[in-house]
Amino acid sequence: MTLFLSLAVGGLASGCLYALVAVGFSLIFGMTRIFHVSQGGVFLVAGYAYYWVSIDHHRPIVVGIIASIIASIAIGLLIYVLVYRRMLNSNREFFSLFIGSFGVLVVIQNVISMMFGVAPVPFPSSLLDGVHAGGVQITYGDMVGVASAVVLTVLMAWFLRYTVAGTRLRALSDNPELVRDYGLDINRYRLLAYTLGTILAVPGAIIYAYTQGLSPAAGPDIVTIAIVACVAGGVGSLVGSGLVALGYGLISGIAVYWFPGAWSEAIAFVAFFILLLVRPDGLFESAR
Amino acid sequence: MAYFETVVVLGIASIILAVSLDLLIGVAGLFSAAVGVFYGVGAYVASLIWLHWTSDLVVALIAAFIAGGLLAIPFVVPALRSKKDVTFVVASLAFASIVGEVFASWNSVTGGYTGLYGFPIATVFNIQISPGLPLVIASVILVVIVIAGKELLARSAWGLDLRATRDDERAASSLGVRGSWLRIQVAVVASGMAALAGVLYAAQVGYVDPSSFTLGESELIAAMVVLGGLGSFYGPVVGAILLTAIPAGLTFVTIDPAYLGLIEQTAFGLIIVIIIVVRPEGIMGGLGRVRARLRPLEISRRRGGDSV
Repeated sequence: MTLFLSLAVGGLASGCLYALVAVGFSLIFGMTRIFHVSQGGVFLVAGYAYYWVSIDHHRPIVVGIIASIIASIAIGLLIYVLVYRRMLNSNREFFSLFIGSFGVLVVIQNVISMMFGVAPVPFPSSLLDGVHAGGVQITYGDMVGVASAVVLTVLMAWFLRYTVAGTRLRALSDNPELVRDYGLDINRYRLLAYTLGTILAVPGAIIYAYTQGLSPAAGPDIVTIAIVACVAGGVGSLVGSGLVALGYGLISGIAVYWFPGAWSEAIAFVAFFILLLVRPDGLFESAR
Repeated sequence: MAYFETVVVLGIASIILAVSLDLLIGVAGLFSAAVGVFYGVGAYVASLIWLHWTSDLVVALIAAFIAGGLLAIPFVVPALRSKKDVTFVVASLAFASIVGEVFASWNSVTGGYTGLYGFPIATVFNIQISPGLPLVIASVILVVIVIAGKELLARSAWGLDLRATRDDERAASSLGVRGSWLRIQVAVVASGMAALAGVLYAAQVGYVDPSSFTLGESELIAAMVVLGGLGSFYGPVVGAILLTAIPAGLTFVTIDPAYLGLIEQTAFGLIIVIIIVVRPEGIMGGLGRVRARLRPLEISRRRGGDSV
């Protein structure tokens, strides 16, 4: 039983990291219609920037985090300017944006592989220690992951609900034409949502690197989870995608209790297909 | 010359894959990232048949087609429950992950990461189709059949119904076209076709392991289709030939082999991005129906562009 609980705690903690990336993805997709698969590439850039500064060059953790934020915003904006802006201006379809973004992800993943190698880069195991509460193991990595997810979710919810910019962002998700008719610059708010979503990849990337190891393959893996969560949660529903990402972590965590570890992700994705049968448009299908 | 023949057979396999993906994207408007997985299914099914049952090539092709088609059902039926483009794409990614793990972890059948090897040379009517000229001939025959089959399907009443469903599902259904049923059918056929390419792979390489049938493979096939031009007759063929010939030529340039694969993948990614941003209709494209597909109608823009 304690093993089961430990697995559940670990699963929930990784679910929190997935949730951060998934909410970032949903924020971007819901408000800009960009199917930002290259969020997985941004995730990699964030993780590797931190690695390069704080692990490889032994700078303080704070410096690494700042470097990671700057790097991810920079790469995010670069993708936006070079790829998305032109496509958004000519009102391209979902397919085009998806294929373009997919290409960007592949480029980032392979360039990082050339720079740092295909194998995982070494991270100290400091966050893998932890405490035992009644036989249930909780690592420091779990705690940091859950804490940062909770803090960022609360911040994000507050921003979207109680600030003017946040209200306008929600309006953008519901009805972009109306927002434009009010005389607001849609592109500016799109860029704001895009940047916010980009920053959400940073904490997930750093903690993931410490707890599960960072390799270029993590980019596509993570973004697959994020987009599955986005769709299964109901497109446009940040709560839905966050919850599904948590559920994904939990299921793949406790699946290890009954099945060999190699099958855990497959089992979580099978759960997604079952969910699709029951609720084709996601858990929190919007009423629109 | 063995190297040349390997490139030709694998190039033909790529053409089959690109044609199959084009049937899905170009004709039916369904984007799948799971083509590479069905490629793998064909390769594994062929290897298992050759290892345990008979060395017949035709039997392997038929079995691969059926297996690929049947395996598409648990993927497309849930995926098509939703009318959104995005759901199908995402489901295909999730499905690719699931099957990829099955390839890598179902040790007793697929051999896990070691893979399957040591199967006999394929035969047709007791004539050995060994890698080299005989297999090249067999591949050419197969690819002609596949292209002809795809064109016949695409131009048949069935294909027209599919296009109608793609362009305006509501109008099509008001004329009695059963869109969901047609889409399930096209996904089954396209997946079976992709599995045929896997048989060629297994016959040529003589060794099957999970590393060849990843998301990267699906991405390469998507690059071929996009490069050539979606929904055109020559598009997928031209794209497949170009993206097979360029890396094959690259191997004669001296690049550190450790980096070769990475540079190739980077180049494929860049090609996709540049083509889709600058010239979305592809090399052979420019057809009106493709442009209609890639640039939304007024209605879909008002609804947020998530569906057509």
